[in-house]
Amino acid sequence: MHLLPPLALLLLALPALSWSADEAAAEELAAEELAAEVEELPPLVVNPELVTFVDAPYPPAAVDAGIEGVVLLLIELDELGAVTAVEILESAGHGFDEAAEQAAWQLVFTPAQDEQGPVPVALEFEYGFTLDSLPPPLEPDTPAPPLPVNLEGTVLEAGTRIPLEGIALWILVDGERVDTRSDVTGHWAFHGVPDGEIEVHATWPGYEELAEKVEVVPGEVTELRLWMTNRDYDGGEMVGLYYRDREPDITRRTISIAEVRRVPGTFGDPVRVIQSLPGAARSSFGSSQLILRGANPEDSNVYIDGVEVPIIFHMGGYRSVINPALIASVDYLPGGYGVRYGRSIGGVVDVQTSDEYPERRTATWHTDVLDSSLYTTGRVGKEQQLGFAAGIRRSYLDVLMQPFLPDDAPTIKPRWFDYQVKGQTLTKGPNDFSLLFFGFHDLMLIQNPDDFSVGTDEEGTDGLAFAYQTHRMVGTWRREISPTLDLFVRPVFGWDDTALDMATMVSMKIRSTQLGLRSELRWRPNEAWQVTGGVDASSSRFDMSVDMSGFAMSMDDPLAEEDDFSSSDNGWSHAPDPYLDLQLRPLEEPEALVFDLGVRLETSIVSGMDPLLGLDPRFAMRWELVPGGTLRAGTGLYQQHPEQRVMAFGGGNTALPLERAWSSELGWLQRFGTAGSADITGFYKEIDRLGVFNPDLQDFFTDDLYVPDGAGRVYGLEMLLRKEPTGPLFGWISYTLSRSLREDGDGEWYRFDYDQTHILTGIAGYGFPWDFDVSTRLQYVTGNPYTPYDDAVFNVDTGSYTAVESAARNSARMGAYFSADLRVSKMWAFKRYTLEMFFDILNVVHAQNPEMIIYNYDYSESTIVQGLPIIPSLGFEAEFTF
Amino acid sequence: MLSIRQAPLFVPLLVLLACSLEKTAQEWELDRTRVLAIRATPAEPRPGDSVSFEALTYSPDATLAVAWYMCLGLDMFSTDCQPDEAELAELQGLNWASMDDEQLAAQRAQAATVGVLGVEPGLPPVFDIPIELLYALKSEEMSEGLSLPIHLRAEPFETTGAANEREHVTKYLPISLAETPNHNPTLDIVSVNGRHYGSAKGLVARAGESYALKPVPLEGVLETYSFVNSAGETEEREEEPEYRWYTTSGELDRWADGPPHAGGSDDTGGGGSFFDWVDDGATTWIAPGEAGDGTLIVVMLDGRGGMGWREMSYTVE
Repeated sequence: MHLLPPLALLLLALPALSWSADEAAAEELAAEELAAEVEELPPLVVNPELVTFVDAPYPPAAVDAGIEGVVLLLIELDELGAVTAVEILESAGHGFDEAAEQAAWQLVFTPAQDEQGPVPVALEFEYGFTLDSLPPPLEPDTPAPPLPVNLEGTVLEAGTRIPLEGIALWILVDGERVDTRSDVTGHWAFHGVPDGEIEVHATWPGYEELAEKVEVVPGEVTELRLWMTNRDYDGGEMVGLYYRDREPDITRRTISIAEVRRVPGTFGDPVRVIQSLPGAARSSFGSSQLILRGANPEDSNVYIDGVEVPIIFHMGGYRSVINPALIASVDYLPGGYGVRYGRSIGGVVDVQTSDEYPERRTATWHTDVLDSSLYTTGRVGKEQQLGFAAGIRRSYLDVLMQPFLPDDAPTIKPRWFDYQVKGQTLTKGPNDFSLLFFGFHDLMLIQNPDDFSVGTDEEGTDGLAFAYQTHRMVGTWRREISPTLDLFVRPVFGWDDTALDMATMVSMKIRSTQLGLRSELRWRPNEAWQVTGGVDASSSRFDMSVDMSGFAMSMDDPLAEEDDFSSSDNGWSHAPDPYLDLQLRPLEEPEALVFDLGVRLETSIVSGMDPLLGLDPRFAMRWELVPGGTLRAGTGLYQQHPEQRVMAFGGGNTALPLERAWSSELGWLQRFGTAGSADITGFYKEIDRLGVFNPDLQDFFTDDLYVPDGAGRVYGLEMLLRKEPTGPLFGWISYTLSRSLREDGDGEWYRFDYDQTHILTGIAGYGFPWDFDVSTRLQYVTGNPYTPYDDAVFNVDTGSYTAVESAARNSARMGAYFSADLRVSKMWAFKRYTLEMFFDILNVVHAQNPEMIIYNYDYSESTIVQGLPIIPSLGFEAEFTF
Repeated sequence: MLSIRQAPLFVPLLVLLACSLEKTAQEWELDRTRVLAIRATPAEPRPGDSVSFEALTYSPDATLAVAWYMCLGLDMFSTDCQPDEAELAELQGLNWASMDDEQLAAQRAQAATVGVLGVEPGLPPVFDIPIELLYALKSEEMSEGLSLPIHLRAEPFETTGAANEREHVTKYLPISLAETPNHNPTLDIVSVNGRHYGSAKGLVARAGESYALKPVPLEGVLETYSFVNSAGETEEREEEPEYRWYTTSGELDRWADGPPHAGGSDDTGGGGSFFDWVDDGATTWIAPGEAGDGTLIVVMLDGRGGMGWREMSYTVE
């Protein structure tokens, strides 16, 4: 039998059936719509190729009748190239269909790929039967009656317990191979297997080949459960987790979770990987502050599902405040973003929680040297129409540190805790609902040594206690009102608490109760244009109280009497922030050229103060000039309310306006098929109206603490060369060349405290067989600027020296930073769970990196404080499937 | 106000500073030109008073030239002014010993026009408080008054160009119409291992041995004064002293017995907490390992601008 050349086609063809005219018309319309929908899909860059062909047995009846035939099949392939569905499009009758279908299930293809990576496809396949090479007909034989099933079982995926459909199984009977395959429940069966020991083989692309012996007992049906090990349990996560919105943000960099969990030094936290991407400066040791494109950490905003949160990292900066297992993607926008985000002159980080819930419930336990967490997700309901996910995490540094501290040293107890609960409807229909609760609580406690404590209160009325917590409840409603109109509504409620207590000296408490609403109505009448009207509203009530004993009554007079000071304040702040966005796609190929024009009204309405309003126009464009090559450009105004505005005691600081930045970017993204991409972006940002300390301040209570005379300038180049994670190797090289300057209203420009001229990061990881992973990160960063001192003025009343700058502010630089980190992980798949162990080693080469300079009492001598040496971290993660 | 976003810095900074192990020159070491204290007499003058100043200085092996100056006019309260160097050099070059009182007064008046209050040796610093200095204050503020910065610069006559050879100092002079103006504290007695040492007595120490030192202010040295708080209430407060120790050799350790707290280092009943303690001046001095002579100095501040000190010579055998 010869096989007619297989045809791989991109379009789906509907079977030709003799229906009524109306049905045919309806069918034609549906086909047109389907074709149009298919046209929208990105083009394939790699077609699937047949690797293994399986001969189908020629139906005996057809042989007898001398009939040849061609069966047209529709074969669906998954991202690995495995056959997941077979459908007969054109029947050839005479038993050809069944034979062809049986054989088709056993075909093996290489995966199809589009620009993003491997994708599932469906293709038409002609399976032909010709008589030319048939072997001579056998002597007619009395057909034997079918033998009963005496060997059967199920085949499941080890670790996840997922039944595997379509697995090819075979045994040898009298030297002849007998094949079968598993059905949708994973069940398989063999008929008439001889008694005695037999070896059952199971094989499938992407799985470890299995051979298991079993004793077939006469007179019984022998059962055997087979567990097949997936060669790459994370392989499924390496694609499909990109932010699939159609925003043409210039420098949106989205990273897949599978990649980021393998980056050393991130402790498996996707948010920390941002510091290995262009545009992010290296923060001081351990702080993990987000310093994006030369902006102060406070000038960048972080979001969880579009809901702003005050911080994204727990105390110490090692962990983000949300369990990585719930994170679907992290959107990192160092600048040039659209009007959906505001109240920021820096960058944006938006952590998106997952909308995917496995059909089988899973529970994951993660432990390392810092903390432990438990996470569970799955579906509930009669028809599994509700997805859920829940996680908690708690650190234990506060327990682990104590035995290592000297007896007479103060007790230091840092700890953090976070939780998330999410539920989402999974029903089909125009409405989608979800509810997300999340929160975190961090506490730092430093207590007196027992010998010197007053009283017995272990929670530190005589110590230092700093605590903050955030809690949010986020509802989401999406509705497809019509094919051209979408509505999205997301109300938010929550609160933030900050408390600082220093013995009896200081007690400060701030509570901010938050109400928010993010809503969008998007109208997309055709592919050429789209209008989105939205609101990013936030209201908060703040209540703060400060009690200090021994508070100096004057800033400038060291001899001023100290007095008890108490102040409390409360009020409301509102920021309704509506925005309007217009997207134009003027070309026939709609994604080839995209213009985005938007305008956002920045508002800051604080009780007792004049409202601040500002209009932020923004423009961005994306133009695919050559295949794989895209020009990106944008410019826009960004404004934020000055933090110092609400820091007044008494009547100061009401005159501060919105701080603003005009930011422009120009970049080129070049994709090299599915192999990788290169991205280069130039940026320039001009900042003004920054609040700076009032140099003429005399009276703390009547004068303005801050004046809007500060300015900034940031410019540079960001480059990213990336190997797409389409195989075992992944990685990227990131380079940022930048200059960030500030000026405090006196005309003297100086380097920003985190101005790092060169930031070069290289990351590479390789997934070896049997889920053994090794990855490394190398980083070189220019040292931070500092102001050299070599002289000081002694205040004989306070006993302290005030440094005199010997040169311009931040005119000197510390030595460069270099680090090499390594991560090794291994996963084992057992029947009902998987276990991953990982070993993260920071600073493998034990580099003596300078972190800061400290001076002695009179600034005549200085010491370089170096970062910590090599830091190993061992941990494990176990995932159970129920 | 502490920003919540600065919170992640807390832990690493605490760890970082605690881990710094480099040795640098300590504040209590007398190894270069230093100005340790400045005493104004009267300690809290009124407008129209004439105030004299005395500086406690140290120099390893050189005579110091000391210039006293202040900012003039509207910048009177500024801490950022420098003397007229030409005028200062001229003043420092004069032969003061040969002048009579009239000539001295004339030179002093001339110096005052450029903000120079005195140059030593030769012209002791004196400042005549302008009578109108407090006119801008409300009557209820006048009892608190204000503080005026006085500047001092001390350096050896023969400079070598070393970075910290010159010492710049600022002293705030409180000027008010207080009913209970401040007086400088006096400190005559220092306890060494429990034994009291008067002003005339020096210490004989053994090389390498530790000595518990503690100033012993006499009864009445710490004054009680009136203060009108922010609520408008008049409080009676007692001065809370601060002590600073210095030595020309050996080592000083204020924390050898833990945080200083009221009642003495042997008081286990209920001292101050880590963040809230009263300075009793106790310290431990470890004599140098070699025989020789030296000086221990303790400066006492009363927290209201008044200062006193005690120098104690020692011989290590």
